[in-house]
Amino acid sequence: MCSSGRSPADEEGVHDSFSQLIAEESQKEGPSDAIELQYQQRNPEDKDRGTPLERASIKDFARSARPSIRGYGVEVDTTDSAGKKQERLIQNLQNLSAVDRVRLLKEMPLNLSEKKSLRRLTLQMTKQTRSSSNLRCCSYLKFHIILALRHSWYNCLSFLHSLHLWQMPLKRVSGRFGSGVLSYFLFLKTLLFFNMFLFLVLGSFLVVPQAVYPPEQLENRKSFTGLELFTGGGYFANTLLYYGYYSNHTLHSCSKNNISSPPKPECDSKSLSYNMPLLYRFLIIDFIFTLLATLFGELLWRSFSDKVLKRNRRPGFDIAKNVLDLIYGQTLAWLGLLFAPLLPAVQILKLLLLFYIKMSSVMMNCQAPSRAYRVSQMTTIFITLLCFPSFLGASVCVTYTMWRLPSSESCGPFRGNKTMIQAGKQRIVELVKENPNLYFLAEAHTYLVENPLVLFVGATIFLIVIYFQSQVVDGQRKIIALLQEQIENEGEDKKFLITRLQSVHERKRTPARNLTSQVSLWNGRLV
Amino acid sequence: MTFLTKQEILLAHRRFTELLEGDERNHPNPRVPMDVILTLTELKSNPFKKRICQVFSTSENRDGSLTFEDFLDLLSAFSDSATLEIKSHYAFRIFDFDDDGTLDYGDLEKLVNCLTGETADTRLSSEEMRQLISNILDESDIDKDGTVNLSEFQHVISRSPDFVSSFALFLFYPVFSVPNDAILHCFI
Repeated sequence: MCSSGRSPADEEGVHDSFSQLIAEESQKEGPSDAIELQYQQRNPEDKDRGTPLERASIKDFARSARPSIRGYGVEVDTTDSAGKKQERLIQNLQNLSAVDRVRLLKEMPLNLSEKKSLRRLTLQMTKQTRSSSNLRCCSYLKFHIILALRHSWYNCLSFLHSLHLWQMPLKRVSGRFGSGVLSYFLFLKTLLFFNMFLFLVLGSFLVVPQAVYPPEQLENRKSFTGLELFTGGGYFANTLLYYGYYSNHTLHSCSKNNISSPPKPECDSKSLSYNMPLLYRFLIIDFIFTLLATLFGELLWRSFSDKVLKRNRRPGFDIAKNVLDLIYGQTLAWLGLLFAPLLPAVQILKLLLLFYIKMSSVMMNCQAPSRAYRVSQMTTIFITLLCFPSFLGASVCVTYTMWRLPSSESCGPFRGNKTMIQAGKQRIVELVKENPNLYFLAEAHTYLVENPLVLFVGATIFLIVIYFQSQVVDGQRKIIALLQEQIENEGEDKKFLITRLQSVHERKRTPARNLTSQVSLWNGRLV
Repeated sequence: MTFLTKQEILLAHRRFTELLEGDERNHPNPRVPMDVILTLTELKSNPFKKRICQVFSTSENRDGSLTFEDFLDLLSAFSDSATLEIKSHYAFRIFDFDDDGTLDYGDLEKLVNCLTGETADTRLSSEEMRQLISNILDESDIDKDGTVNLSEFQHVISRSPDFVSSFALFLFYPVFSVPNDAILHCFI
């Protein structure tokens, strides 16, 4: 029983287990067809490139979400000619949806002209196989309208995509300092977009109507000195910045097209029950202190440690402290929203300036953080902190103010009424009295806004949505654990198969040694 | 059909037309010779620039000249969103210097020489080269035939986590022009 060289049984066994692995876990045939096609075109003499090993490895890497065409009755046959392969490929492409087809075409390692010809052939065949569908004239029109809409939507998206706010600086920062520092700047960008949205909403409903119909200017109007940027009083007291400027009558004027508002008493910032400029000042001071911290913490410290201490290490960028500063500033802006509608604009300016200052400071002064930074968890924590203490607290304060506290007697759009909520109700009533056509608005107001049932139903729906989302997250966690286990198992399988294959090839390579050992064994036995 | 976005295709078109001479621009499908392609800043310092041009070239005499479609193929394979299979497939073809479908001793030797440099003092000695290549083959050659074929290569690549991000190439500077649908229609 001397084994003379290769033992076909062994190799067959290994290849069988390979093909079993393929059969259990294979995903698709398309790209491997394409690769074979290409090899045959380049090396026409190598006919049997499609060994099971080669096909297995290409499939094994198909872990991305690629469409599977196995369900479409594709046969696994490696002995076709190039022409038949192309036919089969085109047929497989036809059976897929447009999205899958595009994805499949993208992943084929063919050159662009071949892909274009494949696509053309596929579309030709699909056009032929489709039955003659005569579009009637109105559905033809609808078709064109939908196409035009989709075209304009794509143009809009590509325009937005090309805006790319700060793309180059962000790439530079992430390249030099890693994704931890990048997450701070991305958080800043997110806050900027929040504020822009808020400004848009408030601006269109409050600021613009008031700016278009300004109330009469009064005699002792203060002049603008530079100090107002810091104190928020003086000149700014009588501008769009504070709610005192806004008048209830403006809205009625808009609806009746009659600008006959009585002159309102001047709102001196000191006689208000709410110190409106205070929040503006908070914001400004926060900005100044951040600047100072950047200056001292980073710039001076770096020059100090370079020149005096002569150390090579530069200060690290403290991401947590900076993010908390941003959250603090945003909380102030949210709190002040009720009293100074232009505060989001101030916050936007502040964030823009802060971005450039921080960017230059980081580039010049800091070094990359030495520890690895778990970015996605930290980003989640940032957003959570922004939402729960910050946003919730601010909205609770604002709601309490609107609901409970009596509004100012002499100033602002709510003057004379007990609370802001009552003012809103009264305004609706007055509006309806003037325009009887808006009767439905009063009805809606009575049944929707006043009714506690609405709140109850709203809260229930909200809670249901939260519960649903938490279940989805739970399920996804379980899937992640399962997939990790699957990856580990596949690694073990691969290791096992490769060592088996290697041992088979080892044995194949040393047949002489086997022969002599077998002969000596026989000799030993005989003797 | 490529992994590139609209903006990237337009940027590529702009850079490509900059490489053309004046009269060639009116040609329907211009072909840029290899030495002109190699003047691109993104390729100039790449040790495999000649092989890259040869692999993506569709000319009959395989001289490394590229049409715009070949150029897009190149950028698509090197882009961020290309899959691991595409990148490893093209990497294999780039490293296969003699185009025979496997990486044998000669291919690996040329590969190492490209990486170590052209001057005499940075190259490895033949003994070091032999040692290095035998290590490589020990590591990657599963069927022990002395060459690395595509599947073994892809297996080795799958074990290195940063292959996908380092096998990349970006064209620099942003696009400010308005999209030209005629160009895009062919390539989307």
